[in-house]
Amino acid sequence: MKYYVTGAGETLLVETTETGVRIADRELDAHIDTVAGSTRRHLRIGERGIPLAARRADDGWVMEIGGRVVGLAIEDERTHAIRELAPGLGAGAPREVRAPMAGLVLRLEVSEGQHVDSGTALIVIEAMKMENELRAQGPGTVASIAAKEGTTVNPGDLLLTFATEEG
Amino acid sequence: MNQPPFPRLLVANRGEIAVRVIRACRELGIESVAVYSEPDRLAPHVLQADLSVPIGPARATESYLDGGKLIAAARQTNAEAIHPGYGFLAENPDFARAVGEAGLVFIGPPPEAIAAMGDKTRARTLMQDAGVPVVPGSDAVTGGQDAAAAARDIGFPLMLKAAAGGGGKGMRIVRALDELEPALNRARSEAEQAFGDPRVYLERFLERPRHIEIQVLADGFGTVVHLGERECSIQRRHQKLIEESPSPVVDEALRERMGRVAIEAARAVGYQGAGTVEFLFVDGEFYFLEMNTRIQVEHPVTELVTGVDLVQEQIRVAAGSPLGWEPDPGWPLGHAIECRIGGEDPFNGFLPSAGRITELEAPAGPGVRWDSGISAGYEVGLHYDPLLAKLVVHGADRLQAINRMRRSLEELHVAGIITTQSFHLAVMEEPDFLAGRLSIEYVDDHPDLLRDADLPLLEAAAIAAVLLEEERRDTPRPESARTDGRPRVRQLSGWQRAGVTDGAGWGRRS
Repeated sequence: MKYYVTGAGETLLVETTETGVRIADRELDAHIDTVAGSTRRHLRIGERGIPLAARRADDGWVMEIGGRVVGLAIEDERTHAIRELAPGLGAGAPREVRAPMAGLVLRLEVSEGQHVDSGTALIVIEAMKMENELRAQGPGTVASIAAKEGTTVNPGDLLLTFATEEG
Repeated sequence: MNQPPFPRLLVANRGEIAVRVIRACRELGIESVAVYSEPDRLAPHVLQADLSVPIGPARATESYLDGGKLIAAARQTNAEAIHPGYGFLAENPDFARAVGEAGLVFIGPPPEAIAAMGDKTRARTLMQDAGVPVVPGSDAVTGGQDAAAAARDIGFPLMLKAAAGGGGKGMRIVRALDELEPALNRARSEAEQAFGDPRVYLERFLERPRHIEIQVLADGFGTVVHLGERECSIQRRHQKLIEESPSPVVDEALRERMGRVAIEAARAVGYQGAGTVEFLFVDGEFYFLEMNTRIQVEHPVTELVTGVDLVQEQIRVAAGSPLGWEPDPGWPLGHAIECRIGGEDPFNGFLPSAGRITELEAPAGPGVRWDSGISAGYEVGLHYDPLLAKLVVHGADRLQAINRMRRSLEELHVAGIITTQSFHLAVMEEPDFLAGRLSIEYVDDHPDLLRDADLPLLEAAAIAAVLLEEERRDTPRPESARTDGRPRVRQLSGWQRAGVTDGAGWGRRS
């Protein structure tokens, strides 16, 4: 089976084979084991051992590897193809901004219908005595705002939704 | 074992510093008393103490900052002394005084010394009188004319600072005379709001200085010694992230000069116990910044290059013992580096990360020290400082220490929350850091530090993800059922995707 793996701005095509994987035209003998009762894994590529920790996320895996945390979205070939055929459902669809932590909503920096650029401050949440500014990671238009100033939010609470730019 | 300095001591703090003080107590044969707020009931410092006393709810003002409750807890357990750690009430002269008036020993300097160093303009004047170099500047200014006159003497660019202040509040850079008056008004109102004291003073603005500080120890018999320097230039928003000793730019002659000045500074306020005199260093000159009248977060690097246990010395001196030793001319021995491991996501603007630590494997092996206030199963909340642990290494020289730190950071495994581990790893490989080219602007000057993972790393991660995905799809019991209990991971990924670029926003810095 072929998979599209996306992370850190790159999309890699990885195909599973009888004995491992094919990636960038290389056949690799690859296996993975899980350390019982933990998220620790041991990836073997040939004789080389690569320790890592992995946990499942919504649509992929969060990997801790070489002291770094890398989030990888993963799609099989079929899902990827379906999504490619219907691009309108992808890029333009509203997207959600959820609270990354518990805290107090100090300020809303944007209003509904407002266009924002990458890096625009959206919401300021106070937690651990620090003001934490959530910023847009790309251009878009604010579709709706669920957060209210002066209220507390829990991790995962919906703060606002976005319509993404085309292209 | 010798007679312990005190039979029993209360530790008025939490987290890694409480654990650190309890360790010193155990080695000295002192019984330790922990205090805890409700969410800290099973925190490591409570589990390691001999006795423990609940002091109220999570909110610090009703627990760790409530001096009355702390003193009552000491009385209740017949503790003779209180160690304040750092933060909370450690530099509150009223608390130090109240501890003394309750007939208990405060492990720290006299309240007068804390007060003298706490007021920035007063400390500046005291230091100038003692012959300690300070950044050229003014006393507190009263109005625009007063400020303009002072500004002409000092020159531009200059810095406005709150007299009562710290932590960046009320601080402003002024580059020309016409910017002065509006900046003054804003700084005064900020200072009034933050500290209830609008007084502001002017200081010359130093371009890209280093932060270098001297550790001092003083007993009650007039002996004051210094234990060399720590370089703490790698900071973010005035919070130190990485510290080392010795500094790459301090030689023996400079160390002696700075050490003598630090000793004079301590003497000028009648200092006792462990303290730190902080300097800004630029173009071969050093200027007094402030004195921290407590044990500091970064004290372990000094302990590693001197072999002195600073916390034990603090306790011994507070109990009335003379220092009884002299600094070794052979110091510093080798090189030590500390990385502060915080519950913050360095790829996401250092946003606090909270949650249950599901797995924790601390590094070990030659030259590694792990001072921590966390354990597997511990819930990291949002009530307190995000500092979770300190990873400290000791090597024969700076290069060995850096290699050792990199190796240790690679060994560290924390699951359940995101930590600053990856930031530190990036610094350990960055050419300016390797060359010792540092300034307090280091983090801002190196925006690429948190660049995306290299391709070979990404390839390995992708291969692992695909193999795990196949395994998951083949297994009747889906992996996703097991991750239902780990909402943090999903939400963080949700936020990152919500980053509205495209599905590829994972792990990316904006």
